[in-house]
This record gives sequence, C-alpha cells and structure tokens, in this order.
Amino acid sequence: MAGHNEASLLRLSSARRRIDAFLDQIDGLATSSFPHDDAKIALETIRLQFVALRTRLNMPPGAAEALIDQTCLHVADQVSDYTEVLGFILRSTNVRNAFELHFALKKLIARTLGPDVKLLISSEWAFVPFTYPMSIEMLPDFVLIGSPAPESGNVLIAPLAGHEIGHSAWRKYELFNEYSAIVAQTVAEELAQHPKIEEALLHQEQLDALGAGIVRDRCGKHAIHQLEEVFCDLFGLYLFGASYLFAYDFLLAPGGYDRNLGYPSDARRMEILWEAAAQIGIHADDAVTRRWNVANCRADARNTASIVDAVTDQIVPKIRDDLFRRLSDLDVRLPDDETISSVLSAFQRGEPHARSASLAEIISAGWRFLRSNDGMAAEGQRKQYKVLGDLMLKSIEVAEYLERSTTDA
Amino acid sequence: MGARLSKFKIGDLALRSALELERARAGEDYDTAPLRDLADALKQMSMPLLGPTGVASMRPGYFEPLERLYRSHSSEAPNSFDQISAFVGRAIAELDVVASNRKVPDTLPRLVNFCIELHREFVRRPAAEGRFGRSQRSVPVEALVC
Repeated sequence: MAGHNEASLLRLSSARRRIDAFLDQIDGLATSSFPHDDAKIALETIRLQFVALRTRLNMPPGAAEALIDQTCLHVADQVSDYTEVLGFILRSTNVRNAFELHFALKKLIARTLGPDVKLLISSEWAFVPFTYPMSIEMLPDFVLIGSPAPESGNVLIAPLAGHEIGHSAWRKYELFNEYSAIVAQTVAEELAQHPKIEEALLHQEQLDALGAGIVRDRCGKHAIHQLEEVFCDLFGLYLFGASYLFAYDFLLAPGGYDRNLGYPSDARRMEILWEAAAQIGIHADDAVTRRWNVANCRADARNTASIVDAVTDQIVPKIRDDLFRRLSDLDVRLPDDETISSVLSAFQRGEPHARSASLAEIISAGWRFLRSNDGMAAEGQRKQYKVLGDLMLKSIEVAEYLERSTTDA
Repeated sequence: MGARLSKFKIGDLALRSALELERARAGEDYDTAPLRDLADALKQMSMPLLGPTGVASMRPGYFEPLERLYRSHSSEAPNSFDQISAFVGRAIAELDVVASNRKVPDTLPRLVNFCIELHREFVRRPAAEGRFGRSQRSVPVEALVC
C-alpha cells in the first residue's frame, strides 16, 4: 500500500470492504434452496467477477488519484447494481413464482437464443415488470424475467416475457451493429429534408460548428432505442401471438402521460403490432387497438421527436421482415389456431388440455376464454378466474410432461 | 451470447486500461489484453461515409460523448468531425504502442486521463449523491403535495 496518500488509502480500503461484504452476501445466498441450477450458476458467475474486480484495487505506487477515485466509484456502482440482482435471485426462490413456466420459457429461449442461455424467473415488489434483462453485463448468458409480485402467478401476462427475451435477442443477434449505419443514414436524410427543423434544433441547443453532428447523434440514439423496443414487441408477438397483444394492453392501455423519446408512443407501438399481426395471420380482438391516449411531448422535444419518429417508421418494415424471416429460419412456430381452439374447448369443459400445446397456444386460449366471459372481473367470477389460472398452469405442466416423456423415450 | 460491445463494456475496458498503463509506468508487469481490446473497440466506433448525404458518422450515441472528451483534452473547440476522429485515432495508436510492449510513451499520463474520462463518459450515471436519495415514484412528488 506504499505510495498512496491517506485519502487514497481510505477509499481503497472502503472499496475492498464493500466487495468483501458483497461476497459474504453471495456466500449466504448460495445456501438457499433453488428450484433450478441457473440461479446457483448466476451467483457463482457474479462472485468470480467481483473477486476479479477486487484485484483491480491493487494500485501500483503513485497511481493517478483520478484512477483510484474512478475505480472506487466503479466498485460502488457495481455493488449497488448487483445488490439488486442478488435480491432478484433470492426472490426467484419464492413459492409465489409460477415455476411451471420455467420449462416452456426456457424452451423458447433455447430455440431463439441458443441452448446455453439460462433463465431466472422472479417476482418484483414494483409494478414495472421484467426490468432486468436489458443490460446485465456480468450475466450476458442469462435472461432474467421478473413480474410484479401481485401478478406473479398470472399466466395471462407471461407473454410480456417475450418482449424481454427480445432484448436479449437484440444483443445476441448483434442488431445494434447491424442497424447503426442505416439509422445514422436515415437520420441524416430526414434532417436534410427538414432543414428548418435542423436549424431549430441547432438554435435550441445553442450548438456550435459541430452541432449538426450532435443533433444527428442524439436523434440516432433515440431512434435506435425505439427500434430496439419495436423489435422486442414484434419478437413477443411472434412468440406469443394474440396473447401478446392482450398482455400489452393489460400493462399499458390506454397509454398517455409524458412521452419518452426512447420509445415510440404506446399507441404507435400497438399500431405496428396490429399491422404485423395481420401480416403473419395472427387474429385478435380489435378492442386492443382502440382509445389509446396521445402521449404529451414536451415543447422542447417536439422537433427531435418528429425526426426520430419518422426515422423509426421508415426502418420498422425492415426490422419486422428481418426478424420474422430469422425466427422462421429458426423453426419458431407461430401459435396454431386449431390447437388454441382445442385448448379453449378443454377450458370450457373445466378441464386442463390433455394434449400437446405450446405456451403461446395455452395462454392465447386463456385470453379467449376470459374475453368470452366478459373479462371475468365481476363479483361472482373471482373463483372462475382463479380456476382459469389453474387450468392454464395444469395445461402447461401436461405439455411439459408430454414433451419430456417423448424426449426421454 | 453477449459478445457485442456496449458503451459499458468499452468504458470498463478503458478503466482497466488506465490501470494497466499505470502499472506500465510504475515498471510493473502489465496485461496488454485490455489495451489491445480497447484499441479494437475504439476502431469499431466509426462507420464509413454514408451514401448520398456524404456524412461521416459514428455509431448512434457515440459521437456526443467523444466530442465532450475532445473538448476536455483540448484548449480549442473542435470544428470538424475529422478532428475528433484524429483525436481518437491518436489514442488508438498510443494504446497499440504500449500493448506491443514496445515502450511507454511520454504521453502516458495524457493517455491515462483519456481512459479515465472515456469511462466517465460511457458509464455515465446520475450524481453519486443520489445514493442517499429515494427512488423515483411513478406519481411525481409535486403531484402529491401541490
């Protein structure tokens, strides 16, 4: 520790103790009873990376103070981020979770992302579902799916997991790299076609000679975020069919509030989904397309929004067609209408479906059953609604059993 | 899964590189892999000239942080995209020199600073004092008290 001043010594020792406490926490969690090995593997992966991070605190004598401070800050940020992930892993053991979904979701993940990708399902004490899979750098081979605790047993919204698997697919397929050039080019063309908007943006941001580059960069950053979100919606739609539209409606309808430029408006997302559904022959109740609010866009963001939205609209058809072609090539099967009807018939008889069906087909039948019973939210329907949940879970278990017994045979 | 470079990964490589550069400066053994990987990552940030608009570009979201980085290293504001490209190109060349174990350049302190600031720019977060703060609520506090 020679060659460091007192402030450096204090910060480096704090950072080391912070990591040690975090590693102790991992060791404690590792003794939990996990329903699947994936959680244990996640803990070990995180542990090894924090052990490596600790060695980065061994600074050479006379190391720049800025490097010591930035490394300590990095450690604090990493511990903060991964403390949340440890909580997620702990909650993945809770019996509130629908463990029945694990096999079916993992099968979808293996088909679309590869056989080595691991899955953690948990419930969150926040009504922002599925928040983790986008950027867990230490766990690039994991998909983490969390649902809000009050809905953690609600199979009907499981299709939203399709969106989150989509974020992992966006990374896996390296689509940021693939679409960066076309986004940058389309932004440049769109600004060239609307010189008054570009001029207004330069003036508004008080930008100098390189301002045009910054305007392009900001628009491109928003546009590629929007395209990733659209990609994930389309991914969920292809995997889960009409049930994705209903789950989307459940989570976001009727939309509105303030506009976030990293997303197309909720209403526009639904339009894109609706058009794509028609393209691949997915039929749904058009109630999901009605009465979406127009989100409020701040006055200072309207010029940027007009460019970004136009760029997104121009590239969406390519993103959609590329994705559907890729999923078709991967032999990902669209939900089959005949099988959905067969599952629905079983539900109408008050029975689980006794034959093979995909997760998407079972949930789509669930939504049809719910819709044909006026939403199942009346006073006298709570028991019936719970029974529907049980029927779906049992049908998922039956499908798993049938598949495992066929594979084993 | 997960091979692609993210801003976080590049920022992390930059911080690891700063550490290895300091080890090199102190005459200790140092790992050249992060330096080489960072140089490769920086090379991938630029894209070729684009079609009819003829605009040189970087991957969306990468130009603005690099422009800020340039400003913090230079007394003069940049006046062309090429200046920023050249600035990044110099850093790449210097990283390559240290990675090849050829020698430790006189400009090493500047290169260490470049790496630290690259990490700051690419792993940009809210202010550290936010750690004492409460989480954001879906309904803004103003809406509850005003």
